[in-house]
Amino acid sequence: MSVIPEDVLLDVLSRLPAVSLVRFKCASKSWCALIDSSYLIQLHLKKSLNDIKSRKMLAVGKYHRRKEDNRVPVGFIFYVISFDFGFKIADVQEIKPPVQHCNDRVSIIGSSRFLICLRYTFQKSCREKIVLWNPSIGSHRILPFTPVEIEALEARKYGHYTFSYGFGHDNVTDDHQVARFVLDNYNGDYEVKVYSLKLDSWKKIENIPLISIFRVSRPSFADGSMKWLVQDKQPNSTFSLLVLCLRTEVLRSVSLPEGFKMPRLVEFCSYCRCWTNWSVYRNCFSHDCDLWKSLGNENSDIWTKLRLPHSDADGGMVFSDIYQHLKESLPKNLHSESIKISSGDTCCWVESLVQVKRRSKKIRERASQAQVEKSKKYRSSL
Amino acid sequence: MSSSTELTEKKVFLLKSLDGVIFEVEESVAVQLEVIRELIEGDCARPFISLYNVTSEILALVIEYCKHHAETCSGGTSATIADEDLKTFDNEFMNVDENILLELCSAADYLDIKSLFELTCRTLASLIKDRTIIEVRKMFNVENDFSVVEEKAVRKEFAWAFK
Repeated sequence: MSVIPEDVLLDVLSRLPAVSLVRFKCASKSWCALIDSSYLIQLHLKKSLNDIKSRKMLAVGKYHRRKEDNRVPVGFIFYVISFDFGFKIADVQEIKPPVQHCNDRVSIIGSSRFLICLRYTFQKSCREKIVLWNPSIGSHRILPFTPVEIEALEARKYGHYTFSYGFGHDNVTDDHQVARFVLDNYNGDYEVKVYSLKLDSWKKIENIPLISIFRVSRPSFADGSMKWLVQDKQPNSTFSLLVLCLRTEVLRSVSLPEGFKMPRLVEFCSYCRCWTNWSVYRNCFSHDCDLWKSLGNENSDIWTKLRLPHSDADGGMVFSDIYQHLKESLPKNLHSESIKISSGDTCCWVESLVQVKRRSKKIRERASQAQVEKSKKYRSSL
Repeated sequence: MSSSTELTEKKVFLLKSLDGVIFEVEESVAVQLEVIRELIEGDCARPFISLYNVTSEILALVIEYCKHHAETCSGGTSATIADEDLKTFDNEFMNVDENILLELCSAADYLDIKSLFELTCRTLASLIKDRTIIEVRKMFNVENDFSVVEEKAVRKEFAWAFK
């Protein structure tokens, strides 16, 4: 019988899908420890990021009580779509959502590498839950609550605020961050807070003074910055970008290119950013889409207009057209004629074994207890 | 070293396997084995190179692999044809018993042949990804050190992965 060296075994294991590895944890104690080791987790992630086959897509489907009643969905189904070489759909499978028994509303804030950020809103209580989720291993974390700290003239309810969330990953600090933009619809005041996964806490970002905002879009994350499209209050009503650099935590305003000034609210296109560092914007009210690319890292004022992709009947963009634009950054054999997905409810991620779950109270308590006993023993031995 | 490179005839090296069989390989093949290239450069390759971790059965396969890759790469064919040819060869080459595959993988690691290591690892991964735990234990010679209760508990914890 052959016994292969451990480093060879690790290399083989790092190429397996996450679900196989979770299963193989039951092979033996040493395999369990090997698969849980941070070395394998990092090696697996590195391989995953370079492998088309470990790229997955999440699609959230809403369903209704009756066919004809299409206003209020009563539930959500989560699907995982896996791809083959050539970006053909290989498999579609239902997946258990991280938070269950919540039929109120769930939306995708974004995804970055192996994590997906979801927002659950509970209509009755006006509360919400922001969840970070690694679907490959079914591990999730609910973000701590943070209040809105806009100074209100009078006591107001949350209904007066518009929330706009974004999710991104900073390569330098290797930290996943959630950014929350809150707009006070009453007086145009706003607040930006950032949650860091590493620190497990929120931080308030300093505002740019003297800006009064009328409307805000969903953000786009590219080149380490979160970008919101905002429209000023009248009389100007001009559009500009609010750019938050996640590394420096500095907010700044960037003006838009000539010819971008659209009469209606413009929204970021949500799906392109999963694959590249491009910011793509589209007009959400007409069926036309404008694709713009911002060049350079810090200089977001250099713009290129790409050609218009066509839309399908539901206003969703046809993927193949977008992918043509992305050719340069994708492997040669990646193209898609077969995918048609309409807005918002999809995102992409890669397989990974990285845990996001906080250690449970019991384990934390046990650890601290062990610490106490250790120090006791130490003291008594003196 | 300078005097030997002037010779026009092909240089030949001798590799000795674990079980004492000696293989004669040309330089173009030998340098693909990173370990041996280092020995050649250090001029430590005489009279023969002993490979203590590789049996003659596996070494013969490794040499076949390296020979084919060396010939295809140095031949006059265009890059795309050579690429196709290597792909078909690799596919056929991987069509072996899984114990041999495991040994090939270890040998590629020991001899430091990057392309063969990549190929065997990839093949092994696709081979085992849908296997059951019992099959995997048998294949990798893993001793199940869980007690019955423990195994039941871990299987319950990761039940979703078993579908």
